[in-house]
Amino acid sequence: MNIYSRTIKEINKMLINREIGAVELTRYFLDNIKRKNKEINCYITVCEDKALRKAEEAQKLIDSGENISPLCGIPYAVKDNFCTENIRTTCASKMLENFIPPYSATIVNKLEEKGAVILGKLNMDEFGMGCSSENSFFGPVYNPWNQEYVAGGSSGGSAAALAADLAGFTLASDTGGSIRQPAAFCGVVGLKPTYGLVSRHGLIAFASSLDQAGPMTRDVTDCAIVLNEIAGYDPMDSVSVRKGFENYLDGIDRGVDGIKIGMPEEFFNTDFAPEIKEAIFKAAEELCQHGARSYEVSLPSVKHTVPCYYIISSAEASSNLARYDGIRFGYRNPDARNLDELYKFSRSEGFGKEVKRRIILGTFALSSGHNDKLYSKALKVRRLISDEFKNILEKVDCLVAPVYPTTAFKAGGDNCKDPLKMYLSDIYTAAVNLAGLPALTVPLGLDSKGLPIGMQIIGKAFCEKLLFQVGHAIEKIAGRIIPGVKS
Amino acid sequence: MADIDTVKKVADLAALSIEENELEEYARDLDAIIGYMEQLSLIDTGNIAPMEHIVSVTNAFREDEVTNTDRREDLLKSAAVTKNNYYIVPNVVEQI
Repeated sequence: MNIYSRTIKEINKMLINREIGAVELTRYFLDNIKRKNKEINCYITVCEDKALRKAEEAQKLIDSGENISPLCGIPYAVKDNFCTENIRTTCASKMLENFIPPYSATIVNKLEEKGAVILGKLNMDEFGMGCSSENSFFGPVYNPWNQEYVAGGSSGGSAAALAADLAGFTLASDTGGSIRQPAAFCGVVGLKPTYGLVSRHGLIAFASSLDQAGPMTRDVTDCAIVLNEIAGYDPMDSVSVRKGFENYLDGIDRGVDGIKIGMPEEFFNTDFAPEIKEAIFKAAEELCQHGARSYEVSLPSVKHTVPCYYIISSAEASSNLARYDGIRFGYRNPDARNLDELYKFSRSEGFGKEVKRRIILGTFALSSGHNDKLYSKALKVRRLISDEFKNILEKVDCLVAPVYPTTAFKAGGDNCKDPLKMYLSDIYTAAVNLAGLPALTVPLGLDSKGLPIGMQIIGKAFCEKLLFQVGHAIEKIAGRIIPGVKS
Repeated sequence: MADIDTVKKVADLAALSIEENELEEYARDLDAIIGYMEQLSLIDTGNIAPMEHIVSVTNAFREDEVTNTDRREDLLKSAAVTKNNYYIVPNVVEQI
């Protein structure tokens, strides 16, 4: 039976119709991981025994004939910055190399209650800092489309695992583009939900005012299915928004008739790969042929996104990462002679270079004499950017934009050697985090190198439904792309 | 504007120690990044209030109920060094 790269919706049907058993399905993914993970390096930890146990439990639920969740029996994997009880959680850092959390993130618990089967923990840029998943203590993640290229980051493992068919869906997090960019690089669907929609309890903090958890899936329908199960208020996340259940599948295939789409000139006037530009314009044109209308719109302040984002995110990171003191958990230097040395040695050896660079940048931006000029100023610019998005989204229903200036770039190249250059590429994604809005990456076919092209759709706060509706229409036009399968 | 001394000072504030042979690289990167970020000072932000947070949540209350249980052993397992059910730190009080 061919189950290669099947969607959750398809697998769910096969499980219910007894075309496949949950254990057999889990074994399929575990075998794939054994065969392919060495090359892709997307898993840091695989929990085979637990997965098989959970699959047996899921099969019992399916056999009971009761109304089961669409995720029951579906094998999934989790970015390694979500705490998982009794399963090592590393954040791809030496600092947490041996950290076994005593509790699970709320959304991991939610999936467990639904009978989803956890396969393991996924590689990433250390603490979410990076755009290629090469800043990992456990080695870089490679792109399943072409292993000479990166998978993107920071959630590179989450995107690569899906593209290589090593999980049915994955969980990831997005602080400045970390779900959307790797999804684009690997040709899968990725949603950064509205800030506050999905609980972050148990997500290891990077920049708290920007961090958001979200799903990566094979198609838009699957994304709505997973969001249905993980969204919702959680008293354990103090910025979680109290909102009733919304079925994100409702109206997903309604089409785009009458939908107003904005194309921000400040994004399209920048220098990015012509093939991506062409693909996005073509997609917009086809949406218009299906009844949508497109408008050129202006967001004058988004050009300040990168300085604003890196000041705020690094400042928050410097504060969040102060908890790693070598004492209660995490790496501890064995030779420290006093408390000061214990802190300094443990932190300096436990954190990688990029993490240290961001802590230093953030500490500098918050330090006396620089705070007004950098941190406070960035907070004001953040409001400018956020207000401009809000105003534009009163006039149009959503925005379309590139995700990254290029498709996946070569692994081991110079991209990590010049940090400023690397930061500048986050311009299209990070603005969305500053404004707290939802955005969905959908694939638009392949470029001339055979690498996936992605586009993001940005919406009003809590209007994920519309993103799915537009994304679904694009998917019908552009089709799914699967490694090794001609589209 | 950000030089080796700046990196040393800021690293100290952040409880980090940077290797001597890496100081120059950190200083160069920091200088380039800060230099770029200072473009923000050119933007007129007039009376705009700083935006600390996107969701205006004030005081997220919950019921005043005990929800945690005694998990001392579980929690101590995460520490590299413990003794008699306590965390251990180097001596912080000087001996006479």
